[in-house]
Amino acid sequence: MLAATLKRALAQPKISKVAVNYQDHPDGDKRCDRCVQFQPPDACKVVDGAISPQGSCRIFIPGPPRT
Amino acid sequence: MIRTGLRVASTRQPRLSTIVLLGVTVFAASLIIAVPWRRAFSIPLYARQTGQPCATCHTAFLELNPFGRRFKLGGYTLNGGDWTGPPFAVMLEAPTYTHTEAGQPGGAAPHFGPNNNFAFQQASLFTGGRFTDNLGAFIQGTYDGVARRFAWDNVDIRFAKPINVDGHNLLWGVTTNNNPTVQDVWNTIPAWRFPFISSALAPTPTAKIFIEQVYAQQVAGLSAYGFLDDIFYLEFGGYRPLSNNTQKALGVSPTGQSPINGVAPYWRVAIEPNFGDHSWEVGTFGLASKVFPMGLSGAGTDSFTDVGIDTQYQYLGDPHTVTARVAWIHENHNTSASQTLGLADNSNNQLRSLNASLSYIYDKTWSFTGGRMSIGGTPDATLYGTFTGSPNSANWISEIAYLPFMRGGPSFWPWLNARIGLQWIRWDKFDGATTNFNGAGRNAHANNTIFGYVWIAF
Repeated sequence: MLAATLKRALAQPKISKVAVNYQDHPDGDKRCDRCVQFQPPDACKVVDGAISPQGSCRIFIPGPPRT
Repeated sequence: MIRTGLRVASTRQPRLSTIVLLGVTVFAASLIIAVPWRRAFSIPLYARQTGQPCATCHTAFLELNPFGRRFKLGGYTLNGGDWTGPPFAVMLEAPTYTHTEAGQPGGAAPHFGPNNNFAFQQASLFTGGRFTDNLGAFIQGTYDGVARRFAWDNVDIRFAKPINVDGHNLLWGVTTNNNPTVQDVWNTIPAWRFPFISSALAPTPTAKIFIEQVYAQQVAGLSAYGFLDDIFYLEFGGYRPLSNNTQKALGVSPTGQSPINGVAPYWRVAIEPNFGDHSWEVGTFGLASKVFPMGLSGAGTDSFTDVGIDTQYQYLGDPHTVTARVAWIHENHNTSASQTLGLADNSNNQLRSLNASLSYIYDKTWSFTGGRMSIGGTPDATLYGTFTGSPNSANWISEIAYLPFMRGGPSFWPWLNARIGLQWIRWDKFDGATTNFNGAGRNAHANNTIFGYVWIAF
């Protein structure tokens, strides 16, 4: 029964949103769609879960402009 | 054991070397400040793997922030970088400079003078990182520039996997490692607490609690852990001693060890709520075992139980970061076998240690830390070998450190990270006394230490 309740999530552990203080709004010029880790349309290479392009977090790293 | 060089006090106060050190440090810092910056996505090993600068995982290396803790609990497997080279990194603790208020007659260590010693303290080679989606490692080998020998150092190999259990996120894993508390992710526990770097040429107290690195690199451990809903952490495992031949093959001298008999259970429980820029941890940890005193089995075993409680608070703002850490450990040590063998006066002893520190970090670049360390317990002159019979010691530590590359190294060396620091230790009590702690007139203040260091990794 326990096995039935266990559901595999992502194969590779990512970091939780709370650990990077993710917010679904920009922090000044810091926006997820301007970060090198952002994966369009709504993901991040290192942070778990759905990511808003307008979101922001503590580990923002500016990347090249996206076209 | 106290180094015999401590038995006679010296009053030499060479100030020239201190001035030279400060000059070298300022010169090095000036060079670092002068070079152009380049945002690095490829700092040592994990930075290259994740594509993140050091500041993503560390407040000021080596202290971890919430991201770094989860990276470690996740088995060092997180990707994100484009590095395709070999998974190696190098760390150097060089040069270092150690000045004590009074010299250590006979030399601070073999091949070193009584005072004002410059040293190439340590060189380490790291490998590990991500092997598979769920398997990764931290593997360190170290050349000790003071002892002049190479040995394996901290090793932590782990499997980790996130799952969902009835709507709850559980990150579970298994770690095998060679040092109790090295697998931990908070900077309150002995393996990773402040001071993060210490002089190998400065006097240290004789008494030591078992969980405080006594078994580092002498054991093999296996433990399972779970991190539930990003808040609750639970770990349980055990350690067994490595054979003398295995230790020798790995560069460790088994002489004088008190090996574990059987399996020593290890446990860790902690909660870490994160709210906005705040992270707060409260926990407990411990290790218990039966041991053969000095490796002698003729009188049976001693036993010890170490129980620690700890808390760590972090404010992770920009540009201000603050960390407060406190850990208190109590050890109950049944020394009946040691007493029978003439290695202890009492059949039972207790030790208690306190380690508390507060850091302020500005712009991930300048770190200011003050701390208090104390250890105390029941007197036992034969067990501790101190002149007073007491294990009590206490000091204050303050440190300033400059970390110019937390956001990435210079353009000519983008993988470089560095910590340049100056540390001052003031001893209130040493091996049971404020004055004449060794019977030869040496006072605790004579061990006050100024330690300057350049600590780099690439």
